Amino acid sequence: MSVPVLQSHWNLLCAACGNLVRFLPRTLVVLLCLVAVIFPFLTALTISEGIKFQSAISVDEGADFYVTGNAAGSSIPLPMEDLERFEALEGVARVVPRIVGRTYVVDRVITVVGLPVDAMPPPAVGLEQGEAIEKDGDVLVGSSISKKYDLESGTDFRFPIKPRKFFQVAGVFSSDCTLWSSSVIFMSTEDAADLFGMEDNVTDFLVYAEPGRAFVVDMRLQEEEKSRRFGPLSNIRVQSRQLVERYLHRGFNMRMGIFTAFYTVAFALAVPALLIVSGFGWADRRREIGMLKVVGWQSSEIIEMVAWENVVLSLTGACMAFLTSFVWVRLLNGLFIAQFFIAETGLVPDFTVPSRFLPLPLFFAFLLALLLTMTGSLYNTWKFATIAPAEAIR
Amino acid sequence: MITEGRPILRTEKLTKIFRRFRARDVVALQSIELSIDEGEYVLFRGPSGSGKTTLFTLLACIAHPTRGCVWFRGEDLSRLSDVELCRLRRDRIGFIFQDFQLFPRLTVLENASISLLPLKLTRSVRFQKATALLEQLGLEDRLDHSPEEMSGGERQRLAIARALVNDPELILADEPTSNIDTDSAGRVAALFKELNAQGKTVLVTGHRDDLLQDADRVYQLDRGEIVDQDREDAG
Repeated sequence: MSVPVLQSHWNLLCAACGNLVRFLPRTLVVLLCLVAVIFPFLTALTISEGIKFQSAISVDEGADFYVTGNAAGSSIPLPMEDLERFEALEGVARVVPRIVGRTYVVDRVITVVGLPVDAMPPPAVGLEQGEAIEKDGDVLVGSSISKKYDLESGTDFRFPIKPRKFFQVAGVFSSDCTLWSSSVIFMSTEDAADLFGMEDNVTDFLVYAEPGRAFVVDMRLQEEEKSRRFGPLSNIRVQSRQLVERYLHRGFNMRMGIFTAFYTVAFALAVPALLIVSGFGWADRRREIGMLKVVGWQSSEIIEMVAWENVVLSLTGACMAFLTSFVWVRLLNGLFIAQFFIAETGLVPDFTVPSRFLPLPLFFAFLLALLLTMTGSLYNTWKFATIAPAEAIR
Repeated sequence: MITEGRPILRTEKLTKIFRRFRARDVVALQSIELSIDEGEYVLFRGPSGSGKTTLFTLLACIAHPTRGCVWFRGEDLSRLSDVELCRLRRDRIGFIFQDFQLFPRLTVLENASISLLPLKLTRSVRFQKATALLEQLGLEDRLDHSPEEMSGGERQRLAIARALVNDPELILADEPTSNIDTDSAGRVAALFKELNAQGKTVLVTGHRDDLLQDADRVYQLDRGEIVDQDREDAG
């Protein structure tokens, strides 16, 4: 070190690193504990960020407005005849009627999306094999569903809720949004209406505004929202893209909150365990601190050395947790932990779990590790460093 | 080598009582009054449990007295802050324990230079200083060894090197010859004599005759009190 002012701090940092190597078993045990505590947190954040990112793509590529039916707060179908009414509104470029429902395919609940044939495939998906929907009964299947149930292009299959009707896989799609590939089947609006028994009704209308005229469409739709009534408690509900984005974030925050609540309990249990583990060898440490005081070390210098030990331990622990998390998500595909964030995923996800590694969670992991190690050692160090050295070495 | 009239250490009614829970208190030292001049070589004798070690821990300000005061160069140690006491121990006092109190996981060189570590000195400067001292003490071929690989005499010399690395003016050695063989003890006694000849004030506890021969003054302790004081002719 060429800067004399920092020389003593550099010396203490080197001494701290030396201590960690000299007390290797203790160091390794503390590191393992840190990794065990931090890596689920890091993995959860990574998956959550991944899903958020993919969902944001879906919302960005979706419509400007979503119009649904509302009866006393619950969603109800809208009559197909409203299509022309919305198309006629000022500033509207296009209106797409949509039917969204959930049903079983073999043993798993998937989402069926019914769209007009000319709106197929949606912009966010690309055909991997086969062709677009052309005739009655044709469907587009997500690549993960296709793999899992051997639903290749040309395969006939039936939905348990409509056993008499045969559907045929016209094509297999993949998407940047891996969740779609694993849980969505596209079909025509007519087929979807038939499957869910919604003749002449749809679940919602996707309204696209002309460029730069979203504000006008918003106003016209709000007027419709006030005037269009089906009964005393029934009307239409208009949700803008921004509102959907906000719901999405709120939804993720809630899921993250539930996970955090579970995690906090685990964390609370981990703290005393780590305190015990990091307290191993404190009898030796106490004597050493006493001896350092005898040879003239100041309490602040001893505390600084121990703090450096904690910083190095935390940094190493956070990096190890990051690596473990990376392996868990990328190689083990979020085994066990993905189910917290993706509904009906099960213990072993059968699609590529979305993930996004960002620097901020790594920084949080470091802070968490630092909090744990500091809690485990600073008080004891301070206590032993401030008593008379003869007491400490006794 | 005494510089008359300049006391380096002085105590007044120095008392140390160890309080014990649900048991009788132990009075380790009772109203000790002594004055040590700069450059003196003083031997403290007494049976086991007479309070020699306790007295040394108080003189080296590594323990606090229950009552009374210690003055180091006219400064009342009880008025000094923890930081000032640490500085005093680091720069002006060298303490040698009866059981060496070395750091078993550090090498000989690291042990000897440990008190220099928080200073603004590079590793090479610190090690250079410690190596020079260890060479003087005949430990130059043991620099990378662990204290556990050394004999009692070598450990004692290492403990002395650690105490001397900051060139202190006062050296306190608690029973420095009790845990080592006769040859090593003679060597250690000669070393203290040499240090005293260099002008350092040396305070030693022990029973050996060679320590007694070299001492300017001998204090006899018993049950926490000074029961006798002899002034010998130096050399």
